[in-house]
Amino acid sequence: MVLLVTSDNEQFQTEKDIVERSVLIKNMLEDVGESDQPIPLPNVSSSVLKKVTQPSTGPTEIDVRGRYLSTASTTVESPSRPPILEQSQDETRKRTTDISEWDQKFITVDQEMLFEIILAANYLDIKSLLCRRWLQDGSQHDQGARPPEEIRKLFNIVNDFTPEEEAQIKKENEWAEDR
Amino acid sequence: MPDPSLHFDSAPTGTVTERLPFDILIDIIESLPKKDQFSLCYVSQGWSEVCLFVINRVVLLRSVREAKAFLLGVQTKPGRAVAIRSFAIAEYLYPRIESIKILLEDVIKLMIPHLQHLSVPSDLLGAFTLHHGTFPNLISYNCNPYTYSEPHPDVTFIGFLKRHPDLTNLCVRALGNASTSPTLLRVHLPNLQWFDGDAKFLPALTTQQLREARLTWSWGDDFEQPIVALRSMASPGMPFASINNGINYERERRYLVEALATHLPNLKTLHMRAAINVGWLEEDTLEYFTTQLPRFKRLRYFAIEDMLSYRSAFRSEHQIMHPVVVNWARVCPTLEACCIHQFCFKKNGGEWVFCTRKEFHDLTGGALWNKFK
Repeated sequence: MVLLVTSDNEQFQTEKDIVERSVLIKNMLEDVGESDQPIPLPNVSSSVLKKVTQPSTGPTEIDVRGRYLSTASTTVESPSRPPILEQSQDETRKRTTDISEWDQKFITVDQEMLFEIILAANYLDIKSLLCRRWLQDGSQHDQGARPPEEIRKLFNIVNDFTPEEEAQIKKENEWAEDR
Repeated sequence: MPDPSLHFDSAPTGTVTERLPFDILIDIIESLPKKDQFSLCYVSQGWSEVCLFVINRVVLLRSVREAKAFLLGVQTKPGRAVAIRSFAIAEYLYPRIESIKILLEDVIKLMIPHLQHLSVPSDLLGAFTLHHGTFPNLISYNCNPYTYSEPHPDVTFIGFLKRHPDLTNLCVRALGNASTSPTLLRVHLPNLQWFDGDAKFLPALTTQQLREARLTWSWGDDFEQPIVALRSMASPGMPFASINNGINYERERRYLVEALATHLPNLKTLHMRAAINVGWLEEDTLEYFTTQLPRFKRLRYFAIEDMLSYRSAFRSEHQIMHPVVVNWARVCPTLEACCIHQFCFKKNGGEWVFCTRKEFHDLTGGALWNKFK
């Protein structure tokens, strides 16, 4: 187990293999070797670290395509790791657009927390940033992309394109689309 | 990481997104599937600029219409050029690009500070860039086709290469059969690891750590001089050499093999590729290789191919080639795998067994049929 200390001085006992998904913490552990010394995380608050490291009532397994297989009911006996730590970058890329209940709650309920988590994940250097799934998850668009209007709604973004400007962007992107 | 000087005309808006640093946003967008990246492009002006920063990192233009639209977009918003790390135009487009040549030259100028990989012939770079432009981050340049002038390689092109000593990969291939003539021009590219192109260009280069050479020969080429040049570039031994023989006269092929055996006896991989259909190898050709292979002291992978080597291989034919390979392995015990046209063999527990061309390619470390990087 590894002892982590957050910016608001809370302490967390966490499994080593979980926290080692963070490159920052992994490097710190390598530097200090076998030690009971707590690892300070001055840029991460306790509420955020809980989201990042604590077992959730979320899914437990990922199939070969990266989709979560189990439901919340199975996780009572076998608590899972939060998805932020669960997947490698490659796995994240391969993910389909399925969404777990846990994710949905996580993503849609608290945008402020989401912002904090992204910053924390960046600081901790966790490649499988949860934020990378914003657009894939929460969507039922199995094959295609999430439409721009949905993204606008999700993140409260105003469309400041004129139809002509939008057409222009399409034209300029033609070389790269459908490849 | 984005360039610190990166400036977007408008920032992405949104409750969470507007507060995120650009480098994190770009990191996020990079990891999204392409379709989502494009979708984000149409969300708002700010998002469009950030997404284009990601999408435009590697640009390959394949039609004049697409090229024109893209280039005009960059010309209108020059900040977009900052994103482009790799820029290429499909080779088949070169003859049709005259109508947008000036536009292309202008946009290439905008890319100069950040470009790392460039695949545009020198005569399309524009006079200013060719004579004075220095791409400070350029590590890979594909000049195919290279238009030879006399004396060749010409002063301007060599001057361009001299301004880019960090190049690790270089492709210089002439249009058609340029005549050969000795050159006194030299350029030192200390980091060059990968050369693909005309053998006659090789004596113009000096370097010490070349790892792969893919040489194309034309009728009338001097065989000795490029191979001697190659010897001085690779130390202690050239790991890989691919010989594209555009002539395919048996006599020339033998000159090449002898020059290689004499000057590069430590080659690890030798790939002899004829640019025409050679057909079934004659008995005396096979015998010739049997006499030459022992001269290569560290040869592990040996391939002879012609332009139709992708033809189907029948097991019965495999069996005909098997004794040939076994014999080669006897005289050249370092051999681990061989490819004779479509027939591939590998050593497996002391026995020589059939393998696929893919397996053979993988055994060579994926070097055999790689395109320019």
